[in-house]
Amino acid sequence: MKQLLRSFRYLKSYWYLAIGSLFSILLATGAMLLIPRLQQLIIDEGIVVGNISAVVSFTMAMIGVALTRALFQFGQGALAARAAQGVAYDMRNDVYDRIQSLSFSYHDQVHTGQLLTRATSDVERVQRFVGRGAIMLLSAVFMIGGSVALLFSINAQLARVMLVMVPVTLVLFAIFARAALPLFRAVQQKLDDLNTVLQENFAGIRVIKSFVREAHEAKRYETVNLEFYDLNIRVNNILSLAFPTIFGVLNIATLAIYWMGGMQVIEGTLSLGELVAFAGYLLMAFFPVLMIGFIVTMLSSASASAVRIFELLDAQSEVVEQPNAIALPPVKGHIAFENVTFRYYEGGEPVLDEVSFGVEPGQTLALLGTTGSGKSTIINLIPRFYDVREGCVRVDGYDIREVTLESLRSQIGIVLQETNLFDGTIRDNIAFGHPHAKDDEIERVARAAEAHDFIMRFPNGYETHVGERGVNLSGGQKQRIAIARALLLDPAILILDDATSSVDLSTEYRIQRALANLMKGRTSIVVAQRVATVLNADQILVLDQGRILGRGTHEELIRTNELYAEIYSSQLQDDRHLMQKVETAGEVTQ
Amino acid sequence: MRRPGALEVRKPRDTGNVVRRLYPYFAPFKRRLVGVGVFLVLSTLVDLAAPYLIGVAIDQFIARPDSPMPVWLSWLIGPDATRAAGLSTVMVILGASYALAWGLNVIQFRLMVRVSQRVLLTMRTQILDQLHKLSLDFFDQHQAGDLMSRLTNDTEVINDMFGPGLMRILRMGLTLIGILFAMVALNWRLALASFSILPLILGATIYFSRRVRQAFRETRKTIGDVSAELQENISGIREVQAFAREDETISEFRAVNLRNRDASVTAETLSAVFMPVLDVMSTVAAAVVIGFGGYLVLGFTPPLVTVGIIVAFLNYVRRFYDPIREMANLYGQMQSAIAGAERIFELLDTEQSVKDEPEAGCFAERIEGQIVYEDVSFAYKEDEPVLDNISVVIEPGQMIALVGPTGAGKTTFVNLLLRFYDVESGSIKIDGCDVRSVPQANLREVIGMVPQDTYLFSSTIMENIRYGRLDATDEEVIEAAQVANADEFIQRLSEGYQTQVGERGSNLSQGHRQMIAISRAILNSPKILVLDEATSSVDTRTELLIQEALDKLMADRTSVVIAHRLSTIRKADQILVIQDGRIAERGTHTELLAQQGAYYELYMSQFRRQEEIYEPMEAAEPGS
Ligand SMILES: Nc1ncnc2c1ncn2[C@@H]1O[C@H](COP(=O)(O)OP(=O)(O)OP(=O)(O)O)[C@@H](O)[C@H]1O
Ligand SMILES: Nc1ncnc2c1ncn2[C@@H]1O[C@H](COP(=O)(O)OP(=O)(O)OP(=O)(O)O)[C@@H](O)[C@H]1O
Ligand SMILES: [Mg+2]
Repeated sequence: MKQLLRSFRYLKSYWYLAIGSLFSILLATGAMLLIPRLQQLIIDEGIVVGNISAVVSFTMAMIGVALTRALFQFGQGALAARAAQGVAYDMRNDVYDRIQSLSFSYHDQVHTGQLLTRATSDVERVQRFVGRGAIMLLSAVFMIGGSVALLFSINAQLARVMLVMVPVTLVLFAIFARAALPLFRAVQQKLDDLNTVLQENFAGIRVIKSFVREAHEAKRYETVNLEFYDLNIRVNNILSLAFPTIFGVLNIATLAIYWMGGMQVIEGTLSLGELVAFAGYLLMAFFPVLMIGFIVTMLSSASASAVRIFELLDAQSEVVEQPNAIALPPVKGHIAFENVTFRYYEGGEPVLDEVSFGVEPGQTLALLGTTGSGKSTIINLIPRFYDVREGCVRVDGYDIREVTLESLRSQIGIVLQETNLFDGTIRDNIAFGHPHAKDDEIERVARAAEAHDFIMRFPNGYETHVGERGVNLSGGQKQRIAIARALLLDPAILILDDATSSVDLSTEYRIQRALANLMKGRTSIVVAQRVATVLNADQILVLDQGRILGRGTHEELIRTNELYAEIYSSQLQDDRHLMQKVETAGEVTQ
Repeated sequence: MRRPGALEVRKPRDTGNVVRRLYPYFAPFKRRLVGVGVFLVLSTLVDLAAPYLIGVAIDQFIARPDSPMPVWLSWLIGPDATRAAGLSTVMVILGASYALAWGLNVIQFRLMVRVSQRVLLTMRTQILDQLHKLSLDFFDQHQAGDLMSRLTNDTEVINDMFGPGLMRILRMGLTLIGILFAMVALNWRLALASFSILPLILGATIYFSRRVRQAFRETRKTIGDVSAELQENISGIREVQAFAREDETISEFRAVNLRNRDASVTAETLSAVFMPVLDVMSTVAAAVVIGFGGYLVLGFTPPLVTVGIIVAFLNYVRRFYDPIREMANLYGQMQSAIAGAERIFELLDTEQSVKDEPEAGCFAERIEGQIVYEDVSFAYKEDEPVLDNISVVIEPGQMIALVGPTGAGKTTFVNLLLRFYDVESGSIKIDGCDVRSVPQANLREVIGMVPQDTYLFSSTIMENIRYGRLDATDEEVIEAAQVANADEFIQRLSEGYQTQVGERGSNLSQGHRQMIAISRAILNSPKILVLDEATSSVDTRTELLIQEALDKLMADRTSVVIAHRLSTIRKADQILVIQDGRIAERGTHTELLAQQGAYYELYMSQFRRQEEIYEPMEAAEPGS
């Protein structure tokens, strides 16, 4: 509820629309209240006493009032639409901005689907309540008040029927709402569950098919589906009672009015016209009561949505720019980790433990180590995807927490370990960091990434669509596009996280040669599994379980570091002898 | 970035066909539906009786009785009853009719909902079944996000429509007809007068509802764009931030968001005109009833109409315009429901490109595991051949390795073995039996696969591994993880096997994800194992350990391994070097090195760079 009230702040920029809409709805309601009164006058002053001119003039008045009412009604609708949609627009923008600014740690925890719901249907619900519901609530109260007052002015005894009808309707509404609301929520929840299963069946279709788990998935779906069915039936059982019953109250009230009022007319204490007008006001008082019921129901779902939206909007990004952050000047390429200890979440095991190292401008640093030793984590810390709490990371001597994110990240070209391409053309994907890059620029980086040749082999060349997440490309092709994408930034620091794991050795070799050329004088950090990839690094760090076990060049490490020697031998050792044999064999045959 | 064919919104193309297709879904409930129909007619009649009864009460008892009493009434209370007694009798009857209407409404609503929910249940089940039947080319061509939001949206619209919606339309139609009859029967002159404005109302309704519908279609399209934009940039958030592209994506988003806002404002403004216009017209109609009714009362002796009838007419006129308005609304909903149903049928009708033969046989209980490719050619898209005349014989128990440049067609080679796609020409046989002649399920059961892209479900690590064999006990799962060398790191996690895996495994290192996928395949324990770069992100030392374990496991099984690390494939019984979709070389590691061809080149490239940069390393080698 508190969060829902907070949402009203969004109405602030549209206050004139909101006021205008409120004003219009009050006038429209006032006009509407006149109509039964005019009907009464037509009957009593015109028809019953035989005065034709009264009939004509009151009829004209009725049409005039109807026109006025229509005008204000339209004004109300048009203004409310602008206010409500304005609120939705601003809110959605805020949600989106926040999503964009939240750091990786937030995105590690939430699912895409959840964020999507917040930005679409949750915003929709809050918008409907804030932009319309509240104003309608006011007008409903006004309408009930007005019609009850008019009823009392006509006939106090009959008006008492109203005093019974309004509360009874509200109580009934509350009873039904209490029974139905939890079920509505459960239905929504089940629907989400159904969609989650469906979503997983899309995303994991290859796994499902290769393990022949169609039947298993179908059963899982069937279970949720049946529960969804049952819930729907239960909700509808309540609804099937609710509506006829609530309308039944109206019917009973009408009956009471005609019965009691009829008796009064017979006794001569009430005119026929008044009785008819009375029935009209009864209807007018009833619908706002219903409306209040609906709006209150709406309120509870809107406030649940508001809670979800503000939860997101209030989420603090772990990575925030300091207010006095400066723009990082053009980077020379010095990187230093000073006693960095890092955990992904509070109280978790440290993933990096007292890691310190430095890279000089123009050097190539290679990270090698066991699976899960923290290589990607080190890399994630340099563009400040996560913040370190203990120790610090410096670029050119600046603590990266003291510079703006944009100035830091735009000077770093990074290829993440998990390749993610956008659904668009190859050209769009390479130009992701620089949408206005020229074709020859794009081609140059594509060549460096050894991608140009295979791209040109497609009939549509650079305009080939890669499909969702790049499904239409092979693993190595995706990786090479990701490399070209990073190179296009012309970065001062290039980071490659296992960027060639799906690329064959000779292609990788050619990419490396091109990179050596392109990155001359710039700093590169390379994560690799193959020793061959890191042989020419200036410095190699050997990692295990978050600690640096050794550092140095290949020659140094092979002598001094056991883990390194082990990794090396697992790849090459056996073969040197074999190769020599082959080579000698070759020489012999020559 | 614009995606092609994002969420299009459209009108139904062939309504007749959709209705024909829907018929079988409703057919099993024929008797219930007839019941609903009967109740519907009855309750409409009862509803219509109310204004008539009130009119009678006014004319006979409340106002001065100046018209002849209806036959049924004089039969009921006798001609000489007092006004008060007469009024009470009519009111009791009215009360009874309300009670009857209540009962009828409750029952018909329940009946109808049960039917429509059943239909949707069936439809949803069919959709999932169809998704499972469709082959992978379908998933290559369709964006999951789009398809998902369409499916959920469409079933929802259908849900709204074919439940209460349909009933409301019928009811409104019946009410309309009933009212017309009642009005003409009560007083044809007044009826004609009140109809005079009808063409105007119908015209306005048709005109506005069409415009409003178009406008709302536009808003649905723009909100679809908003979701697409969100979907894409949220799932690519890591790239967006890494490339510092937040500002650009934000301004792109503003643009689609703005379009949606404007479209919504237009649509809502249009409908804000529509309702008041109808309201004015219905007030005008009421005024006509009263005005003309007044004239009929006063201008003639004896009066041509009674006050009671005028009041009844006022009631009818109000009820008359509501259904028109409502039907205009529902018509729009109906259209989108039909369009939705049409799309669902389209999905259900999509031909699977990989189909089981009708009399497909099954593999024997135990297969040997011999695989033969005979002149296999294949293309994903016409005229872009990926595999070209591939022939290989893999004997039972052999390990064969595929190497070659990226994009050469290695993954494609194994995709065909699992029959994710069908060969264009040639054939693939397992134990002499064409893969197309056995059911896909049976074929895939004998093959275990670790695909290049690791996919983990959003559940625990335990459940993810268990996916390989659903009835495996916890101990068996842990055993499989031990074989894949994953047990150690899983135990180190604070919640061990019960650790929740983030979306697509985001909280695990890449190598760990692969090790879980390998455990899954090991648990599955198939006769043929396919590893597509299954250890590309695992460090080579761990990989070696995994391989030793696998070697034991695979001793009597056939395996197909794709890898770029030559250390991985050295032991293979047969190595195929694939280049440009053809087998360029084949043989064992030693044979291929001796040939000094493509494999030799590939193999040497890892030493060459070291020789370029360093002196020969003999001195560096430990123990030399
Ligand atoms: N987003 C995250 N949230 C929580 N834990 C994480 C997250 N990312 C990684 N980890 C954990 O941190 C550790 C180090 O992971 P990291 O990805 O840095 O390893 P890595 O050395 O890159 O491994 P690989 O060679 O497999 O890519 C692992 O134990 C992993 O489970
Ligand atoms: N689903 C698809 N739709 C269309 N084309 C595809 C599809 N999958 C792959 N291709 C194309 O087919 C060719 C062979 O791809 P494949 O995935 O078999 O290569 P690969 O040898 O496995 O490469 P890598 O080592 O990089 O994984 C590539 O040119 C690729 O672009
Ligand atoms: Mg990693």
